[in-house]
Amino acid sequence: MPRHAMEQLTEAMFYVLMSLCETPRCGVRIVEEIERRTEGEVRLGPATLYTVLAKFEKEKYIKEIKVEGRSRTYAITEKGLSAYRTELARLRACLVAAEKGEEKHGEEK
Amino acid sequence: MEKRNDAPRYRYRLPPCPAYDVEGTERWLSEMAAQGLMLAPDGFFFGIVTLEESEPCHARYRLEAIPKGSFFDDNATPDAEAVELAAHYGWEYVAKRGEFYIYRTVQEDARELNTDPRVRALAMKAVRARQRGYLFEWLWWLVLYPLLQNRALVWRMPLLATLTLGSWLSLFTVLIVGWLGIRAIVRTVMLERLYRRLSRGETIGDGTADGTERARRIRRHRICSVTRVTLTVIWAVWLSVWTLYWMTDQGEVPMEEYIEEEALPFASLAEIASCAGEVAEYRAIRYGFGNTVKAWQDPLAPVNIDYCEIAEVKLADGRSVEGALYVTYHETVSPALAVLLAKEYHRGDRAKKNYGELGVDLPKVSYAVAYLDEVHRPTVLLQEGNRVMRVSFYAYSSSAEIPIERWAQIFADGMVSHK
Repeated sequence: MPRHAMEQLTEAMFYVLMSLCETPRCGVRIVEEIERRTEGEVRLGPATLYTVLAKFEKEKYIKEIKVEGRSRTYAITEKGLSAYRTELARLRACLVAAEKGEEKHGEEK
Repeated sequence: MEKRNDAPRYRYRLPPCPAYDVEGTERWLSEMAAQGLMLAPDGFFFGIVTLEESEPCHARYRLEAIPKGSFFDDNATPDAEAVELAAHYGWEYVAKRGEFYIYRTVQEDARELNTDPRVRALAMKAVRARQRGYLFEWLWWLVLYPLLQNRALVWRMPLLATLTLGSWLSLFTVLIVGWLGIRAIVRTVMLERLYRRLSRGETIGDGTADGTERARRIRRHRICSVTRVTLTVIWAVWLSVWTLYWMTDQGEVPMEEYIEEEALPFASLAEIASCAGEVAEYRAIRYGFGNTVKAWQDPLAPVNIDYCEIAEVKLADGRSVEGALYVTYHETVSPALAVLLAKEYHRGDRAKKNYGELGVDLPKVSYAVAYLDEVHRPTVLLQEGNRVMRVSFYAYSSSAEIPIERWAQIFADGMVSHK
């Protein structure tokens, strides 16, 4: 269990960073990008998104680069990119370990 | 002419649960919507819920934790971006209750406001921190600070504070303060539990209480709320009246007027002067204050008297005694209380500046001590049975010497003979 909230990103956090890796986006476009990339499997709620963006901005994982009316556009920072890559590596390691287990299980059968 | 009938009609209800009960609030508002009562904008105000009549519908309400505010932002309404995002997905901001913003959607297919319990737990952190802050403030100002500073009368001399305020008002105050404190503790604990559930990834829902149990809880909460508000208002009014009464010296009567009706249970200045010689003339001195008696009753002490006499007494041989006599007298319901009160008085005076114990022969009563008080007045504290007396006598112009042992004995004799 991580001691600090940002030590291990939740699924929603991971996808938000993922969506900002390519290009800066505003909140609505972040949600649309996540739905597109996950083929509709992950649908972020607006309050969840708002909380994640606020938290990331406070932790300097993202920064606000433009304000149009009430809509703000965010871009990922180096710190955010690093956190994203760390989490990606962790997930890949989990996947590799799981696949090895599956292979071994298949062989035993 | 067509009758215009489009003005909204409102109904008013008491909230069904405490402000920190997220699930209870959400569920009740949804039930109200199903009955055709929609929460009005800013519909939670001073413990009353304002509902607008409309067509019954299936509405979902969700409570969102209010984030940490800035110095310039009291978080009265949510951030414009948060409202915009929610609106884009079918949710409208309606009102604020306690530490939460309330959103509503009537669209069946609108996605949930929160789709990640752990992120919702993050949002709860600010609420938890604020609630702990309120609890700490309550503890600090009412309990720790007075204890550390040792200045608050109520902590230094609780019995005297109780007698001054009145036993019933004191008890009422303790109950109100205690109740507020317990509510603050319960609120903190419940918010902490909610946070832990969300941190574990639990999605909070309707709870498992059945209809009868829920109805009972709602009724109990409403009764408690009304009782609490009523008692708090009564207490506030009572305390204000008492404060006004005390600050404007209501209840003080001129000394002569009091003596006509009641005999004083202790000696007067003339009686003190009489131990130096025969009293020839007595003249009360008016300085715009003094020569008054304040008497009051209390369940813990049926007789309480604050007495101030400023006078000049001329003796037959031409000498005179001019001075001020201050007596605070109590008859408590038991000797044990009298002992506690005497010790409190002594403790209170000992803590003040310029206190200086006098090594003099004291009367043979249960408790006796002589000292100079904070304004250098010779003071004697006596206790016998259920009587306590604090006497300060200062002769500022006197050709007749009256040692403290002499006048202390007069008061002690009065205590013993008055049994």
